[in-house]
Amino acid sequence: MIHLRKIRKKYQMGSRQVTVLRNIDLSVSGGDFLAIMGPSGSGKSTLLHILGCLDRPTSGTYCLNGKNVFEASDKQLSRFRAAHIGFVFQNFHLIPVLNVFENIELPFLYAHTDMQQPEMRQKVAEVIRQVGLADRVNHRPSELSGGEMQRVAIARAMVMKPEIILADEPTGNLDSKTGREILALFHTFHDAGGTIIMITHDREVASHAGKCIQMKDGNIFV
Amino acid sequence: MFDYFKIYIILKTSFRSLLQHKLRSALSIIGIICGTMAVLTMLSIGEGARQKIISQIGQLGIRNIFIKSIPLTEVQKQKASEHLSPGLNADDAVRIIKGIPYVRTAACVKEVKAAVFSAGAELSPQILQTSPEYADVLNLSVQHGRFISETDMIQKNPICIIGAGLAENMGVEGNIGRTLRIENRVLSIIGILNPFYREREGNTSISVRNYNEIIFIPPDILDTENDLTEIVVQIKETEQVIISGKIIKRIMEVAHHQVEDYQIIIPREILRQAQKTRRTFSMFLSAVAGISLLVGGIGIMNIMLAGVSERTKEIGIRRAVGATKKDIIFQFLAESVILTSLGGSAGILLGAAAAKCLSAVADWDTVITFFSVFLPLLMSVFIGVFFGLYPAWQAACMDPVTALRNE
Ligand SMILES: Nc1ncnc2c1ncn2[C@@H]1O[C@H](COP(=O)(O)OP(=O)(O)OP(=O)(O)O)[C@@H](O)[C@H]1O
Ligand SMILES: [Mg+2]
Repeated sequence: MIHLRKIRKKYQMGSRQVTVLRNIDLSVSGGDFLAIMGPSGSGKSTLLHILGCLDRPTSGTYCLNGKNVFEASDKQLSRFRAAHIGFVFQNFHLIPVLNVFENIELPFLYAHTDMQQPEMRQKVAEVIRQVGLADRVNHRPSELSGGEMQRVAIARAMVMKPEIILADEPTGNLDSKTGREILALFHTFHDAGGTIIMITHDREVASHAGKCIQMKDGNIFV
Repeated sequence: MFDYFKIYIILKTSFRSLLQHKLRSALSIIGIICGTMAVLTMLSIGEGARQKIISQIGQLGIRNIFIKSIPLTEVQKQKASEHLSPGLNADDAVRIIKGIPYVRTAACVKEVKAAVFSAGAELSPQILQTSPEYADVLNLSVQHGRFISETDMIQKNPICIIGAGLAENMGVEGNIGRTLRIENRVLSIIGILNPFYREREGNTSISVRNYNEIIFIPPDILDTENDLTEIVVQIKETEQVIISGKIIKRIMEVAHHQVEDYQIIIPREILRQAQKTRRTFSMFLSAVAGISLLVGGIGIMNIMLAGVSERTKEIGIRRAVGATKKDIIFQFLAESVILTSLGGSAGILLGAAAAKCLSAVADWDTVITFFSVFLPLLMSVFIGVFFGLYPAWQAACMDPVTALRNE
């Protein structure tokens, strides 16, 4: 499903070049639950952004479902993200002026589906129930706890029924009990056949994944 | 694919974002409010003036040309008699009718100053000696009886036609068949004019007589030796008015030996002049509106740029969940257009209020038309798009990863 070949990512810092990813080769099949670990600054987030089509590598090829991402336009990548990829971030990244329902509804605004409004609302309500926030529907993010915010973010990532969820330290800002609740939600998604790639610093969290890779200085060690 | 649901969500979100900073949003649209207000007020003043002049000229008759005698000073009288100018007289009318094929008819008018008595009471209406054509040329009609006829003129019948207001004031004495006395002549009333709606005085050169307080009598009933007050010439077709005016000027110059003891007034010419003035006015208006809206637009752009940099993370989030550049542009454009059209609407309301105040307090004629509301509204929307485009474009071009890393 995902094939990375010789992925490099460089940043130009004034006159200096910083190589963040060097020759990354990685394959992920559908239904995998992959954890990425490694020290800070090793390029984990950068890799995840490339996997999520938010960023483009400096060189190398990225085949996603048989298509070369490098050749796709910005618009095509955006459409693809809306329909097939869900992001979960360490800092939740919710939109403050929107309430829980509206934050979760957001992907429908950009995914070009033939779905009618009642059906969308039903799907949003369903995923809200799934993450256990039925009594928080009208709350703004500032009125939620960290765990609740992360559940909103997961609900937003899952509402389009994407194939892949990319999570960047989803439990990093949560206590271990809340972290386990979040991981339980990932397991439901995984059990339903979804693919998960998750960055974490926590061995215990990583142990939930089927596979674990280590990154250091822009390289992958198994 | 743009359905109403998405537009609704985008508008709702935009409103929320604007309400986050109520004061800031309100301050940013002051320029737009002032601009649209100025446009609406000035348009309605212009339109009021235009409608007034059109209606005044309509009452004078667009196909008419007025030749009025000018009261002369002693020096001018001297000169007039030296040059043998005869003063405005019936021969002028004959010359014009014979000399210009475009003339349909002409009426001679003489104002008479004399005391009027009705059943012993003295009245002070204006007295006009006119030929029968006058009613036709000025589109006057009687509600009872008839106007002066050819026979009245030839036989010098002692009759008169009175205005509606005068008839009402005179009570029973103001009915047909009753008489009134001018100096020592007793005249019987044979007609009463229809009530006449008179525009308030604007431009003195095109003032319209008050036909409510008037008495018409046939020529040569009273002993008056002074010249005619006015000759009204009616031209067959509107297009021939200007050229006829020029010929009349020539004829009069020759007949009066270059003495300017008359004045030629062409309502159609005045209308043209007014339209020219209006065009100048419109250009001035556009300049004022342009400047204030430009300033207003820059204010909007400033606020939008601030909004974009504050909401960098939101842009990153939207991009991550699948928004294209176009979606981001649309989101921010929606916000700036909402801002400016709110400003525009407020400006329109204030402008309409200002126009009404001017009408009530300063006695100016203002008319608010669909155009004068639509134009400033359209302008405010346009400003929103124009000045919102650059900030929106900046937002769209932001790199999603950088935007997400922004804290
Ligand atoms: N826009 C950029 N320009 C230059 N360098 C960058 C840029 N973005 C990231 N980097 C560098 O790339 C390296 C990898 O960053 P990345 O965020 O991928 O690390 P990470 O493994 O996710 O670290 P952490 O565990 O702390 O989140 C860092 O050294 C960072 O300074
Ligand atoms: Mg990171």
